[in-house]
Amino acid sequence: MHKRKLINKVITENYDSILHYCIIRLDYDLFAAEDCTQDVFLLLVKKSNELDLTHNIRSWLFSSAERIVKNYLKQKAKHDIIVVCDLESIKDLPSPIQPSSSKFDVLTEDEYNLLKKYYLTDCEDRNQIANEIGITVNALYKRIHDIKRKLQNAERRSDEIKKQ
Amino acid sequence: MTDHDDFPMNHFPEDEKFLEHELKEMLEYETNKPEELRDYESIDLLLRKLVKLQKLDDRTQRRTQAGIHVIQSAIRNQYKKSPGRKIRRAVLVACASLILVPNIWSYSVYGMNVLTLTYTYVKGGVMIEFQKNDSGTSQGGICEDMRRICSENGLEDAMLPSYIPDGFYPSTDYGKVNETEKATIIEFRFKNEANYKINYMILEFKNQDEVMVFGMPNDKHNIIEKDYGGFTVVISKEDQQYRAAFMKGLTQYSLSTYDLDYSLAERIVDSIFN
Repeated sequence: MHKRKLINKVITENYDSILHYCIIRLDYDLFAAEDCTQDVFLLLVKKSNELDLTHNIRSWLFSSAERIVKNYLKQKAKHDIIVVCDLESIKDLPSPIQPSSSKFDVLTEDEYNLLKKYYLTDCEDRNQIANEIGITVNALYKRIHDIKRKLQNAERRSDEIKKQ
Repeated sequence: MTDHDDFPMNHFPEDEKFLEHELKEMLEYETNKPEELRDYESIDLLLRKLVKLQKLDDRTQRRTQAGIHVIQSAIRNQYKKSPGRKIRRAVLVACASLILVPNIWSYSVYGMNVLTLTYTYVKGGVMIEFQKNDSGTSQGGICEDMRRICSENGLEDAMLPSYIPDGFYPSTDYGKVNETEKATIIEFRFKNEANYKINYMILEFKNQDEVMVFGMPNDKHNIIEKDYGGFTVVISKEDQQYRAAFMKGLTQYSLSTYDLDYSLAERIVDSIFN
């Protein structure tokens, strides 16, 4: 009974986070997100004997959600409805989603972490970030401006390469 | 420009849409990192910020409650089954003892293995059942419910299966009805505790011009047609995924199953026409 209570506790505490994660990753397809979320927790129930439910279970949940979402997207790419006239003229199906490189790859680790911290903080709390790294708020804004420009340039270069 | 140059405080007013976009890209970037490099604390923080910006909590509260309820039902069913498994195990151990004990005695007294005699006897017609297979009950209650939902949405004559395999229950968006400009769409989704899935979808198109034909994803183009009393059903089987689709007038019907035995999927299709 103790195990069952523990599983219920994990589910109650984490269900909405995993659901939100799936919603965002699945482009706000609520029904698909619900399905994937259910799959995550059914997997948790299935593997509950092998897992340590008291330690770091959240990272296991996110990790499983990511795998399930990726699998769903891969399957969806094969299942998209296409308009055809008859069986003989079935077109080639869209190829499964290929992982693409991210625009953030052009940033150094420090630049990326600074940008992330900046986005996660509300405007009124940005003093704190500046204080942590020992610069003025204006200097912080300049650094962020430079980082964004770097990202824009990288995106522009990438678009030009795609056009060629 | 040096660090001391003046930058107006509102030089970078972050448009909310832009911020959402950037956070979403960051979330994808973080989750695509190799597992050993993934920072789940960052993922959590990014997610919380996005949920706050988009007010997702308000929109998903009801779904969260419904979803938790479904998982808890699955847990209750799993724990209900356990005693049955223990009893079956005890019976198997008892049966094994019944064979082994006389065998050891027989060999020590007669120098003959009684298992040979048991084997012959078994061969003569004793059947041992170890695993209960699907009994093939029709789950009539579910089928009636599907009929009711179709009738409520103007599809009194919908063609529906009268057989759903044992152990399957409606999943969260069972009976979802979607009205678009082109069609009325009703979906019935089921799953079982092993997470096998069954989807039955009905699309009633508004007119002939809107009709789309169901695309069959199949790498080896292994698609067959089967006739059911004048209805041509197109069937695809691949990677333990079964799909069947047919048209009646302006209504398209499709069945998709995932990980379910093909024979059971075929039984579902047979039940639509019988």
